[in-house]
Amino acid sequence: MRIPPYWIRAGVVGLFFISLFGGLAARVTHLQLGDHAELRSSYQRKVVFQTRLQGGRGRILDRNQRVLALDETRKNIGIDPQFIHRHNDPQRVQAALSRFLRVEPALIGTRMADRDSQFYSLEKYVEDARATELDAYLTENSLRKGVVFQKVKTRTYPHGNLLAHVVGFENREGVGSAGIEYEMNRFLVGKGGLRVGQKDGNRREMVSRRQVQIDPQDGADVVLTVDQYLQYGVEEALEKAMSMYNAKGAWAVVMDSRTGGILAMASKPDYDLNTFYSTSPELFRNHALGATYEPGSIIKPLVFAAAMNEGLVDPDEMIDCEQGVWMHRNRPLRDYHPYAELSAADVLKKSSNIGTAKIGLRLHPHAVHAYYQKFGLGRKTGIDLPGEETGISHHPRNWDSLTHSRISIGHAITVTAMQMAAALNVIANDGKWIQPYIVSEVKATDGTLLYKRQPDPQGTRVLRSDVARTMRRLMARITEDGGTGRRARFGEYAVAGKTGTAEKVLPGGGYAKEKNIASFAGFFPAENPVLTIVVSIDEPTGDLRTGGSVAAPVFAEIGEYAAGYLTIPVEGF
Amino acid sequence: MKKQTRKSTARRRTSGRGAPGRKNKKLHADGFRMPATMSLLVVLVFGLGLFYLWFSSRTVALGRQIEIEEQALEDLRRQVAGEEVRWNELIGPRNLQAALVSHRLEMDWPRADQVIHIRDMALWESNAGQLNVVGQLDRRGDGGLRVQ
Repeated sequence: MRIPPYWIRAGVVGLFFISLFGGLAARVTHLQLGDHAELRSSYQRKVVFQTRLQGGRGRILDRNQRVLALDETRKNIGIDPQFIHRHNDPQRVQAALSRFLRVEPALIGTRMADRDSQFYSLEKYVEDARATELDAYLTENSLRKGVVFQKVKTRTYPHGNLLAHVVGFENREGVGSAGIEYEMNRFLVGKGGLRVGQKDGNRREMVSRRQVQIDPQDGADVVLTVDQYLQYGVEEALEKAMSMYNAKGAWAVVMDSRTGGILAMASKPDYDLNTFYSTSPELFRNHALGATYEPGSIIKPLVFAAAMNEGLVDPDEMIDCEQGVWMHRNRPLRDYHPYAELSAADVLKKSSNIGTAKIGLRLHPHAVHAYYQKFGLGRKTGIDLPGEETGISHHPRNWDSLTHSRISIGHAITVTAMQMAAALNVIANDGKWIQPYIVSEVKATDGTLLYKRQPDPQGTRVLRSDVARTMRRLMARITEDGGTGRRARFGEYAVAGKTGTAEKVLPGGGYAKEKNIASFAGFFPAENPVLTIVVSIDEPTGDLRTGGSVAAPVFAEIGEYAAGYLTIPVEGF
Repeated sequence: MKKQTRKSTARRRTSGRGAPGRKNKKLHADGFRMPATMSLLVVLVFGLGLFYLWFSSRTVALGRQIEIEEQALEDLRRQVAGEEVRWNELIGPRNLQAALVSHRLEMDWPRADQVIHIRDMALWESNAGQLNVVGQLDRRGDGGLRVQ
């Protein structure tokens, strides 16, 4: 049989294609099934990617749900000079960038001139609106090539300095480093997600080939007890006082007398949270919690209350105030104004050191120490903020011969303003110590309540209720005419409080006569207290540097603002 | 001659099946005859191929859509955050104070006798008279509203 020639030709062509496709198939099979670790890893490196997705940080809100801190996307803007010189018009790009960026035009020019460089950063953390505007301008004028826009998440504090020491800040690594940002970091920080997929030749993700997608979760919102408008009033009053008395610093705490919730806490000088990185670390210190100082006379109501609680003093009994100088253990103790005899109630009203020391001496040293402990002195209050100091309250075994008389008038002991607020609040709160707090609740993004602070209505009983009531009346007399704290009065409100002027302790021992801390601690309305406030002015200058002259007016200003803002009735709620 | 040819053709046509001469291609195909199973397989493979192409293009399209939506979501989130920042700056105490000054508005707190406190007494009592109840009126309490 003869094979036709066209069959031979067809056979040759067929064989060619069979060998071609067969060869390819064999190669593909070999590549697929063979052991090509190097090829596989090269493919993995080039095509497969794995990205950690960052969850946003939760917000910090005040008691009215006003935002105090939140995440914002901003842009880092840079240039690729090499690319711009090849594909763009460097002069026009430079002119456009100079117009929109807050960078010296000369700097942009210098960086643009470096033709060999492939990247220069020009401005970091540019607000989204400005970056978008620049982007649109460049695109419209065909100048976009070679200008790099890099998205970055940043923490923004809309109110700058306001509540700086309470809110704190998140550092560049995304970790809370001060204030609530630090304390509540575990709640605020978001949970990261994961994305595994493949990218194309242009290094863009091929979404259709995404293999793993675990969505990130934003952090929870932290709601505080503070009120930003009240805080503003407090900060303004402190700023004014600092400026008026040319003081080194000032701090104040405003507390809800019934719950212990902190409505305002300010410490001056402060800093802008948005530029914390260019701030001196000295300014990071929250003096309301972290500064310990001898309280001076503001401690006297505590000694008086303790003695009254033990039945050792009666407000009407007369006490010899020694005409202003009393030799006790061969050392003189002086009064600011000399008095012969004063009733115990007037000892408090006139702030007699001698009278108070004598009342304090009626208590056993251990009893004085125990009462101070119960009032929360010498230990942290446990408020949910970092940087709280303990203060110093020595055990009686470490006292010297004079300590017993001096500790009653606020010497030989150091406290923080927060401790004093909580201690004075015992009298305002019917004799019970309650723990101050500043975090009200924590809510997840879906609204789930993760944490809610329940104020402890019981508290810790320190004084009998009747003693606390009497003390409120006695303290209200201090702001009446003839009292040291009359300048703390405002409007028709009855204010109960105590002035204090403490000389600063020198590092080598002794007291600095010219450097003192003027304080006023009190609450109002006196009979039915709503707010407990402590104000301290650090190193005021001028002739009158006492608590009654310097701190009491600030208390009155804060009190008036708070009473108006919170519409507190004259008789209390 | 022509007539004879016609006759012979007619004869051939009526000669019946199996008669020698030209084959009836409709009845006797000599080429490859694909079995039904094979045909079904080819159709199936072809169908699968088409389905794969459709599915693949659909997946790519959905991927693009997801990418667009993700971008839109991110842009919206960015916008919301930006607006939230701006809004909070706007209603911040410093800005409000500046606005009052710029509009020459002198405002003062109302006098105590000008204020009427409305409280949900049940909530008030359950919270032991918490200050934060003021201004955050809860109308869901059992005690209803009372004017004090």
